[in-house]
Formats: sequence, structure tokens, C-alpha cells
Amino acid sequence: MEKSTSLPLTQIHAIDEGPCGHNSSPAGLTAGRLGIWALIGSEVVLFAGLFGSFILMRMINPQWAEEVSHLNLKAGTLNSLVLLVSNFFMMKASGSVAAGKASDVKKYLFLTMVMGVLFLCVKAFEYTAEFAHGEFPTSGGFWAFYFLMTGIHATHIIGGLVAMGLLLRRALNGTLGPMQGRVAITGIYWSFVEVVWIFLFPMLYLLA
Amino acid sequence: MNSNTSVNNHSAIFSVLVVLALSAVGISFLHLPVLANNLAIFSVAVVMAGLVFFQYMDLKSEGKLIYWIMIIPIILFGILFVLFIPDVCHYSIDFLKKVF
Repeated sequence: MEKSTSLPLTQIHAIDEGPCGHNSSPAGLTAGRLGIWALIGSEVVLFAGLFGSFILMRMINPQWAEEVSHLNLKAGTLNSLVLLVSNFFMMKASGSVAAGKASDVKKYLFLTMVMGVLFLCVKAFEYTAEFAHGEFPTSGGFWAFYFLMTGIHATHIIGGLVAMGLLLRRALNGTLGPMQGRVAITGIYWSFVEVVWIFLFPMLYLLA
Repeated sequence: MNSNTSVNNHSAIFSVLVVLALSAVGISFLHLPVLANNLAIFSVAVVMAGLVFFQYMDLKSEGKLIYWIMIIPIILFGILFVLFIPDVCHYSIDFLKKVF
């Protein structure tokens, strides 16, 4: 059985030197880790504002229940599962970095990206069906919120895919070395994108 | 925690998350009263988000600074949300009667 040297996930950030060599902050965190949590804090403001506005507007407009019935619940559920699997692969990629298994890092980063692209494809399928039924962002308050919130979320997915693509390219070239801590940092971002969907999905598709 | 334990832990968390996600969908088919339905589904979402934050994002091993970075926006959002409720209630008496 292969025996791997392992580092806890919390320590692999110490490996990350960063492009300028500034790898630690006064708070005792790496710059990357502090930066990603600061980014997530600002994202919480963005999404909480959107979700709060949606909930309040939903209370004022009970007729939106009719609009909700036009959404494709099967596609939304499928996307929830796809994103859960994607995030699981991302955690496996982070774990593989800690275990020093370079081939697994490439494999799991690739699988994470495949699931991310699949999520976008399902979302595109949903959008196409909604456009075909004449529902556009200008069709009413519900649709404006729906396209805005899912669109911003999809943009975050694309951002994550770009980050993973850059890491995968380095991994394939064998130059991930000093930047391998960024796999875990990207994993934190990807998990946050999943958390957003965890709230977005029931809010749009399931709430009565 | 070594990497094998970590991977096993992630697998277990993943399984729980899948079950919870499907449970939320299942709850929506039970045709519960509006308040019960929404509370149940929202509770499932909060549990799922907690699992991802503490297990996948490793928040449990972070220091106070990171907790404050997360808590402050949530508190500010909560204040803003509560301040708007009186206005919303004014416009949605019918909705609230249905809920309660």
C-alpha cells in the first residue's frame, strides 16, 4: 500500500510563497488565506443583500408563486448534485496536494472543472427553455431577481473555473510547486460558491 | 488529522450533503403549511452551509479574525433585513395571514 507523507490542510498554506514572496500577514495567516476570507466576507455582503431583497420582495408579491412554478425543478436539483460532486472533487484535489500526490491533483482538478462546466451547461439549458417560454429579465420582478442572482452565481462559477484552469495548467507543466497552497485556497472559494447555491436553490425553487 | 482521515471525512460529509439536498427537495413535495415548509427547507440549507463552512472550508481551525470577517457582514445584513420588515408587513398583510 502506498504510504504518503501528509500535511494537514491548515499547514499547506505555509508552502504557498506567493509571486512576491510575501507569504504571511501580521495576523499570522498567509496572505492568500487572509485574502480569500476577505473576498468571501465581501461576497457575503453582496449575496446577503440580494437574498434579503428577494425574500422581502417575495413577501410583498405572493403572485410570484405562479412564476416559481415555471422553473425546472429537476434541472435545479441536478445542478445542486453536480455542484456537490464538484466541490467533493475539489476537496480531494486539496487533500492530494497535502498528500503530495501530483497525479491525483491533476485528475481531481480536471474533474472539478468538468462538473463546473456541466453546471453551466444545465443552467444554459434552463435559460434557453425560459427564453423560449418568453421569460426574460424584463418580464417582471421575479424574473429580474432570478436572472440576476443565478447570473451572478454563474459568473462566480466561471471565475472559479478560470482559477482552476490556471492551476491545472501549472500542474500539467509541473510548475505548481511553490503555488500548491493555492489549490486549497481555490477550494475555499469553490466551497463558498457551493454555499451560495445551497441558499439560492431552495429560495428560488422550493420555498412556498 | 492525516490525509486519509481527511478524505474519509470529506466523503462522509459529501454523503450527508447529498442526503440533505434531496431531503430539502422531498420536503417541498410534502405540501406542509407555508411557514413549516419554508422553515424546514431553510433549516436544511443552514445545516448544509454549516457543514461546508466548518468541514470543507476548514473554518473550525481559523482564528478570531476570520470569524469576525464572516460575522460582521452577517450582523449588518441582519440589522438591515429587520429594519425593512415593518415596511414589508405594511404591504403584505395578506401574505402574513396565510403564513401564520
